[in-house]
Amino acid sequence: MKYLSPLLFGMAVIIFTLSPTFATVADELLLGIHPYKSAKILHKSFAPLAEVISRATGKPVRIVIAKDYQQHIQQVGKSKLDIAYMGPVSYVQLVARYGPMPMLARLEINGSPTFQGHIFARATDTIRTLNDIKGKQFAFGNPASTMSHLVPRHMLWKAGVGAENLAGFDFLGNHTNVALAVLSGKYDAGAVKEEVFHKNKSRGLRSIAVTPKLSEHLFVANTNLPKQQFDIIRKAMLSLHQQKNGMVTLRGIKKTMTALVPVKDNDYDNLRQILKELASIGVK
Amino acid sequence: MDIIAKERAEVTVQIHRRTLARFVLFLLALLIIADVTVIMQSHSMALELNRQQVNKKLSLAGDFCVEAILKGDYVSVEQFLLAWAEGYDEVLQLKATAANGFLLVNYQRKQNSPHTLTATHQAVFQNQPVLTIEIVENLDALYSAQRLNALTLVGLSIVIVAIFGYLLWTTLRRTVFLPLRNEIRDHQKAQHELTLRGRELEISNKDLEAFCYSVSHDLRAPLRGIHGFSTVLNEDYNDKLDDTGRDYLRRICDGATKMSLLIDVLLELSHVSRLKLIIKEVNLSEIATDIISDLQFQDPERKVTFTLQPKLIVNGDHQLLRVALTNLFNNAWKYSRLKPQAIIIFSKETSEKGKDIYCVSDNGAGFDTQYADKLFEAFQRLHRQDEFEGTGVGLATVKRVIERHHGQVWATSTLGEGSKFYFSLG
Ligand SMILES: Nc1ncnc2c1ncn2[C@@H]1O[C@H](COP(=O)(O)OP(=O)(O)O)[C@@H](O)[C@H]1O
Ligand SMILES: [Mg+2]
Repeated sequence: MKYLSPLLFGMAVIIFTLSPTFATVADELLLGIHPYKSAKILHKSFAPLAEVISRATGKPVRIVIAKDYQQHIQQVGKSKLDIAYMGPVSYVQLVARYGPMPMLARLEINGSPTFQGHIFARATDTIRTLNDIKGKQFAFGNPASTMSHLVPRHMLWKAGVGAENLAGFDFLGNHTNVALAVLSGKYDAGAVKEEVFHKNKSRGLRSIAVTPKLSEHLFVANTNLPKQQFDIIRKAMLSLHQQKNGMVTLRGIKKTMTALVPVKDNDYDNLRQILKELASIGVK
Repeated sequence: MDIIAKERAEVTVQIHRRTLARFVLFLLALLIIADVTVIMQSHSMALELNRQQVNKKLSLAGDFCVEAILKGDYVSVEQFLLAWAEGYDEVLQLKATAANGFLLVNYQRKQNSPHTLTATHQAVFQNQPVLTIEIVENLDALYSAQRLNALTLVGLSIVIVAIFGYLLWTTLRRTVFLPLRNEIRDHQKAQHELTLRGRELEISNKDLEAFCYSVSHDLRAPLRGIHGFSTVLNEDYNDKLDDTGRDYLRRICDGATKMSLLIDVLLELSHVSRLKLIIKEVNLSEIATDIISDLQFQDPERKVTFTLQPKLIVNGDHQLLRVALTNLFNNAWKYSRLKPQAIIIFSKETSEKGKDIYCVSDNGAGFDTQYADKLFEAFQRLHRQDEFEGTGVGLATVKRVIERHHGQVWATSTLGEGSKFYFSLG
């Protein structure tokens, strides 16, 4: 019985937000999510958080899922959403385009609010340094992915291994494809986020380089959100891991999440710098 | 006798039953051999079909994997193969190995089976190996289905043979055994009755003969007394009797003599009936010669022409045949007495059916053929005592002898011109 009312409420929210337009109803909060998974799954995983926020503010919360990353950034920038969840790169782009945003909290994964990635090769291969990757086939994940493309691409460039120094490179769409493609011998080296690297390391991978630690995904707020409401929501988020059922809510979003923790804009400075340098060499 | 026949009938039925059982068993063995052949064939066919299906599945899966790998989409390959292996209950193990030996997918179901099929498929792109998929399939379902099939088939065969055997048995019983048994029973009954009647007959005949013999025998002693004392009376007291007395005495003597003769022939008839037959080759011509010489010796005055066919040889009892021939020749001799030139012939003829018929003929008084059958009954005579003396037992004795040889005897005659007495043997 205890779970029934939030569940029913969440369902109502889902049904409501599934309607094609999301013109703001009076005193309704919009929670925007960038489309990193199917809308259905995202609705389900964020519904408990929406319920938490709703209870804290006393307002109904509606989940909104953008068509793509750029639309999401635009909607946040143009203050069409009250709360938005996004990745670090999106955040850096958002601030670059629309100016500073009120920051609510960032994810703490397994006790750490930062994440990193690996550039790796097969354990049996002779590649030991970034320099050894010259003249080899390299596998990236998604072009927009932080750890399977942007950051490692920057590292390679810094180490003097530009795209022109590679025998070839491809984007394989996701991290695991990169790991498996290298293991299968189709590519000599690749780059993935830490968890994927560790998951496949025992199958025959060797780390060549570790990326700098980047700040995790985060929640930002609408610049027009009243200060009082912002504080209520921020407090609700930061204390969530201590609340009853809080961990369930967190794990619903990401299994390895341990808390929502404070976040500052300069947490993203290193990424900002990397992206800036990448842009200078034409990688966006 | 009855019980033995019954047992024999039971044994016959039992032999049939055993034959039927053997036949049914043979049929069953044959069917089971056929079953085993069919089962083995269908089993290897099923295995081959399964192998083909697995290879086809692998080939299709391989095509998909090559497509995905060319796009670098290893996750899809991994997910697809894992889902594929998981989805097919019969897949016990699936391994997908990249060209460099990297084990991309290694699926092991937590299950074992003694019957498995291992198939390997190498997916290639432009003659370069891309992925080798090895699969181990569980054939338990196939084997148990085959086992069920086999059991059903064998069971069905047994049922069919059982029904067939039962039907065959009941049909045989109804159409063959029961009538056979009934026939045997009827036969037994008839035989039993025949035996009983035969025994009764035998007993009554024996009684009669014994009675006849003992009477004849016992009569002899008093008869000898009568004869002896009348002789003494005639010799010692002849002079003390008048003519009438002497005439009476003579009549007593004659009666006694005649009675003695009667007793003799009756004893002979009885003897002929009781004697045990000893069947051997008998030369009738020799016996006839013997009898004739006796007759001529007794009455050398008579002029009789004998014509005898030599070497008339038969199978029979010598002693009895001699009695029969003696009676026949005695008659011929007696009833031709009035002819100045008597002729007696003994010969053999052949009947229409090819049987040997012997004939004693004479040119004597003959008889009225109207009574031809009566002659062979005891004490039946066609001539008066003062014409031709006799007892009337001779031909009855002949008939008995011939009957004991399973033969026939009959006579023909022309009154005043002669008679012919025929007989055949067995
Ligand atoms: N050869 C014969 N010729 C004519 N009559 C015969 C001859 N043999 C037998 N019979 C007739 O058959 C009768 C029966 O014959 P049989 O039994 O021998 O008695 P028996 O000679 O003592 O009178 C005779 O009384 C006679 O009338
Ligand atoms: Mg006579």
